[in-house]
Amino acid sequence: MAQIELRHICKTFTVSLRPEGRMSMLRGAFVRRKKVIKALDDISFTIDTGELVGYIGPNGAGKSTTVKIMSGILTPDSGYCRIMNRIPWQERVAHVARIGVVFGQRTQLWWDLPVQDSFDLLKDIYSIPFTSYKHRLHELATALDISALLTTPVRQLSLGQRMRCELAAALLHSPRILFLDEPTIGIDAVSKLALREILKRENRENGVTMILTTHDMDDVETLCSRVMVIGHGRLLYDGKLHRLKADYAPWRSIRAILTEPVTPFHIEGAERIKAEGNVWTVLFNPDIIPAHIMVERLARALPLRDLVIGEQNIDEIIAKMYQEMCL
Amino acid sequence: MSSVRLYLKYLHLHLLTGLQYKGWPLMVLQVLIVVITDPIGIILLFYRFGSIGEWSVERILLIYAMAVTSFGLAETFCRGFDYFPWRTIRTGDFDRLLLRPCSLFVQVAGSYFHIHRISRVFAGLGAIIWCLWRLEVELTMLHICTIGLALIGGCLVYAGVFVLTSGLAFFTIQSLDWIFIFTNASYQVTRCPIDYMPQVLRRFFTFVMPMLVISYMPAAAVCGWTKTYWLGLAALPAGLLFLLFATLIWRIGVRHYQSTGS
Repeated sequence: MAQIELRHICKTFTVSLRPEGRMSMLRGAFVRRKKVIKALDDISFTIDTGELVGYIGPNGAGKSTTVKIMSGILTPDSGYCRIMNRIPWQERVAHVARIGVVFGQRTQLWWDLPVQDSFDLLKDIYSIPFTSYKHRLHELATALDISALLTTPVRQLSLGQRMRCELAAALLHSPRILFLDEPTIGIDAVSKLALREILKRENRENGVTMILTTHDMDDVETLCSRVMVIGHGRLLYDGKLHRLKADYAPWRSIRAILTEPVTPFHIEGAERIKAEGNVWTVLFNPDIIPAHIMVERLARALPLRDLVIGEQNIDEIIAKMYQEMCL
Repeated sequence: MSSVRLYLKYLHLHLLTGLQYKGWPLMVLQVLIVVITDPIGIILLFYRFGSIGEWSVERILLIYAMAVTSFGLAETFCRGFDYFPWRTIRTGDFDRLLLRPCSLFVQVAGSYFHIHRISRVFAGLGAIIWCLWRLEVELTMLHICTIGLALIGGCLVYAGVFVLTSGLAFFTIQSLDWIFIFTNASYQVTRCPIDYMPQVLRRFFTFVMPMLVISYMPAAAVCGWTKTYWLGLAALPAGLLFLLFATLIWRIGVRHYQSTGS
């Protein structure tokens, strides 16, 4: 049976609008126009134990609302949601004891105190037995390389260091499901890699299910086998990342560095050519024309110095997808 | 039981946080000055004109001190609820609390704690003792119990006020200033001799918000101004009732929050 199951979840918010025009501020103080926004419109999906799911979509698409419903903070207007055999908002305490949530932009550590103290408090909050707490802390501290930071007040940590501690805090009680809301926002490359590594490990070794909302496509690419795309409160795509790529980005790209700038001209088989100084970017469809032939044609037509073949940038794919779906 | 332990843990951490900043003795002094200068107007007035009828300065001050001490206790130990409408809910920290497998009540109560607030309690206690000494009240065990119960009851009443405010904050954040009638303004009321208080106000502060039950009545009982001593013991049940009512509103508020979001 699926670990997470959502069926026909709907959620609307009411926001009040300020009237426009002159004296709007004044009138706004007395009369308000109400507007109903559909944050989630009939969302359904299931996630099995141990899946690593990337949940992506533009700002305001309904990502955090879904996460909030799944973590029991919000009650949906209608629909059915069952996670580990519990309805999150009805059995809040029992539910949240088994999940972990990381907000990239909010901290759950105590600003003025050493990291260790925050962890000790979490130990009491989640009633973790002392021995397993010691063991777990040691394990996480080694994996995330934060042993040396434990006695430092949180306010003195860099963003990357803090984020690593934040993740340790969320994993301390060994949750079965982990929700990550933009965990890698604004952090340095070293911390980012460490973060991804531990997430992969947690998933592999302990079978923790993870749902990751992010704008960083590298995160999705390195971590997630499955992606869900949401826009305007509707689920637009749910499936493997490589299928998404095949559907929306069937092309390969060749970056050709030339010895001198050449004005672009058509080469047979190329779908699109972009020239910037002495660098050409050539897109082609490998189903129609094999890569080595395309390279050969380029080599014959251009003064090549170097050459890189790659997939289309995933950011571009997503941007294109949003565009096609009129978001 | 684990809730109590968790709450104490919160206090412990706040204490550590507070001590990180060098300025805390200054803060203690600052609150102390506020507390002491607050009733100075009355004291000067009485000093000049003597007493109003049988209302001497000690009497007024005793009732006032009872209220202030209760307020101080609540403010010290339920500071989180006091801050809740203005800070916790606005910053979205409340979401975080909802994600933890323990009582929301404990978490909010423990979310802020300032050690210097306790100076109000000490000042109040000092004033109570001084007044009782001046009024030549014999401190029997019963009297001490009555006063103790009154202070606990008072603490519950004020905690109730904070909880009530927090509960209402789920519905409206902007228009909550009137709540000060119940907090800071309410103990000012106790400075007015009860005999000269309009009937409406007297009823309000007895049956709606049991201010007089936790200040005047115990004081009257201990000092023998009335014949019905048992009324002085009503403070604790009154406080409990009020807090219960407030908790109800708070619960409704939490439910409302969960269905509307930010």
